Amino acid sequence: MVFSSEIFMFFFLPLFLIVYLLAPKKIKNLWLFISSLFLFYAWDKPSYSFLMLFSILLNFSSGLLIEKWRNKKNVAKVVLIISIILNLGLLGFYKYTDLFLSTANSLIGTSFSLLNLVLPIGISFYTFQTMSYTIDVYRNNCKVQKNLIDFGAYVTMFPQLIAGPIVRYRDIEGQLNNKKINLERFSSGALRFSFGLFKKAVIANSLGAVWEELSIMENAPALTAWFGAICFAFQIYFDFSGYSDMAIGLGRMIGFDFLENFNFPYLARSITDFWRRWHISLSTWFKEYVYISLGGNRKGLPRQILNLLIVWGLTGIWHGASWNFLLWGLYFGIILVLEKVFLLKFLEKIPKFFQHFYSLVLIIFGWVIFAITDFSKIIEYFKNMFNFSLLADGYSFYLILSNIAVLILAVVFSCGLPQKLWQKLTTKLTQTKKEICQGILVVFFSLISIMFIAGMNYNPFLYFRF
Amino acid sequence: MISEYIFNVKGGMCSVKKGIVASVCFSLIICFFALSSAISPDRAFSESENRTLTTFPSVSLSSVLEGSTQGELTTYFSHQLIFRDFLVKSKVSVEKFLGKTDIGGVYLGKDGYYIEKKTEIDESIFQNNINAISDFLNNNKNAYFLPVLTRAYYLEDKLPKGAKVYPQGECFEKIQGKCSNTISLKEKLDGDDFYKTDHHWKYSGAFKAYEEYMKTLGKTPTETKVETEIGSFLGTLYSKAPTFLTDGETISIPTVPKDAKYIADGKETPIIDKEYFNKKDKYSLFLSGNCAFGEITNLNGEGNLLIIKDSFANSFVPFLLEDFGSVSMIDTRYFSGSVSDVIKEKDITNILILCSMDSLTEEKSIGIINY
Repeated sequence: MVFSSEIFMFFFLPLFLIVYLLAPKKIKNLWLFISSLFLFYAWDKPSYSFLMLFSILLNFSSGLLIEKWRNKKNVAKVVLIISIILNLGLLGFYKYTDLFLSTANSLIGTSFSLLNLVLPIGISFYTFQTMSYTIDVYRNNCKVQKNLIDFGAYVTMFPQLIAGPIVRYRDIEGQLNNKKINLERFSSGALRFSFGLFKKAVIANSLGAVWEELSIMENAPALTAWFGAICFAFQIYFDFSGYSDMAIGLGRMIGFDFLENFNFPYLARSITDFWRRWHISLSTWFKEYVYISLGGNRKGLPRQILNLLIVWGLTGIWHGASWNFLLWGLYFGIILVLEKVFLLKFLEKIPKFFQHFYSLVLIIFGWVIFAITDFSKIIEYFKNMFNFSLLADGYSFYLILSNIAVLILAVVFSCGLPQKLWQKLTTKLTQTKKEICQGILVVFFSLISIMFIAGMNYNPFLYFRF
Repeated sequence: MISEYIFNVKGGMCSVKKGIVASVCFSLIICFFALSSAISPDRAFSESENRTLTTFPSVSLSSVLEGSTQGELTTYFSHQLIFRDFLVKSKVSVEKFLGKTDIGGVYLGKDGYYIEKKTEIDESIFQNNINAISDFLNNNKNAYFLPVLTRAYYLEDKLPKGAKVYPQGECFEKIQGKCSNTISLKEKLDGDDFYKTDHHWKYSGAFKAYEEYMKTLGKTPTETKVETEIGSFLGTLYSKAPTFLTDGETISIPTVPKDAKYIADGKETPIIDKEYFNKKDKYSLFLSGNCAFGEITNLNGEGNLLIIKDSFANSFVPFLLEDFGSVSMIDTRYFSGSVSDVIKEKDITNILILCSMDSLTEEKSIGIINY
């Protein structure tokens, strides 16, 4: 189920909220668990709910066993390793098997037939989420959870189930049995949700439609190719950050506080800065559980560079079972290494404008590698972007003008200007006026999004590959 | 008292309780759409979108376990949303207001003209079709080809500035280079011969085509007159981007011989089908829409005509009914028989291939004419 759909907004959500808000404290987590797993998640492919149930039981019992054998470090370690292998094995099997089979077929001439498995939705997210629990229990960074329902609720809760943010267990540990549900949080959650909905249904989907046309255009003039890449850059940002907004908003409505996942990434002044602003929960996860486990920066510079490249290669391939994603990850890995070694110091000395320009150009190139899976088509697209013999044609300008309104919205919201204005406004207004403004915004964002959702024959969700 | 739930009174100041307004607004919106969609009766067809809508799916244990019921329910909820047509029109209106002229696959051009947005074609499909038709024309000396350049060619001045459409003129030149016996309407038609909101041609366009065909055969075109006019016509292109303020157009219908008998796919059908007068898809009044094989008999003319067609011919055929003894029609998209058999069985004396450039560049079925 996608948040930006009628079935979610007008069937699941009201049904869920009515039962949840009326239920006594002790039942809330049970309802959250059951409705998330067997209704929300099971909606698209019921059999995969059992896969998730298996993953829940696996990590729940691993947590208990590690706790039980805390004094026998080696036994606990074995449990941890087995659980990690099983977790990653599941992920690897469902997600990457066909990639390896087809690559083997083309490289060494074998003729394996592909499994053509349907990827369980959100498996990349919930696998990482449950592993964070097991590893944290082992490292004694959080208390073991002895209640299966509570643990299940943590893993399956629908706001963050399908597309994150990747919530570490210890970040909501205290909230599981101590939820703060009140009108104020409900309303700020509702505002956040409707804003995220607007980002996705109006901005992301509109620009995505433009990208869909431009991504396959042959012999495009340079301006058209750049415009297409920019449309994709906005689409993926508004799609993903919109979804995170909806997740955080929904969480807040039901008593949970998730960490922010985006911080205006297109305001970055370097690639290092970009990755502190984009999909924060993922880079945090990789840093904590992979980079630091590999030794981080504590084993000298050459080893640090290797660690960085490994982490970024993995980050790339996490995004999808296709080699262009690995390339994308390594692309950023290499830039980050260069920045760490000398580039950052250089960047700090040049005017801010050039820092932004440098970052945005590299980010956009990155998106071209990310958006197109076929290597020859990626090269084609870059050729179009640098098509000096045909810089622009009438159609390039037509495309930009026809979409100018959404483009302006995209630029303005990705710079954070309206958001900052709203922050300032709320401190200056009286209580009543602030309430009314909040109400107006919720109504505006919701209604316009519902309008766009109704008129949609185009509503893909990019991160469903995960 | 309700006021206790809404207002806070603190230190003499009365203010609205924190979070009440947005929470109530949000809940009301969700509940409104959820409840009213649930209560309102299901619609099976959307007039403004011109397509069927999903109704409540069948539920069984196996379909639920497999997930197909859920998929249908998702579509069902989307299709049966309350005020859906109003919401879709609102969306198009908002986009139009913000300057977007490319919506739903159509360009919203000047003076209310909708123009299909087709920027590229599949060269291989086009070439195959031209080759097939060329072969057919070479094998059938009594056959003519009438490709209709569509509106995008004649209405170039109505396109938004810079909008791109595929070069129909060039495609037409390729046809003329390859095919013999091709009738050209290039200079004969203009923008006024086409509807504003539908991709078909108007009475005047179809009649001009009829005149050209008769001239080519060396016959005099029969005089014709308008029998009826029906208004409020909003066509196929309008459906792709419906708005609130688009005016309906008028369809002119010519007189048809009273004794003519029309059999479409084995069923007797009116040539001018009054059932469609009050429906959205008014153009289907001509020959009651498309069918695989149709035959009009009991006519006063001489000769048996076979038309291999797409829907453009539907409003063209009524003009021919005084000039031939019978008119047979094959729509390659639906026909699964043998064209050469039809030619023999029906004693065909004249053949006409009439289809639009869009069909020629999209349809893969045209090749069947040689079988």
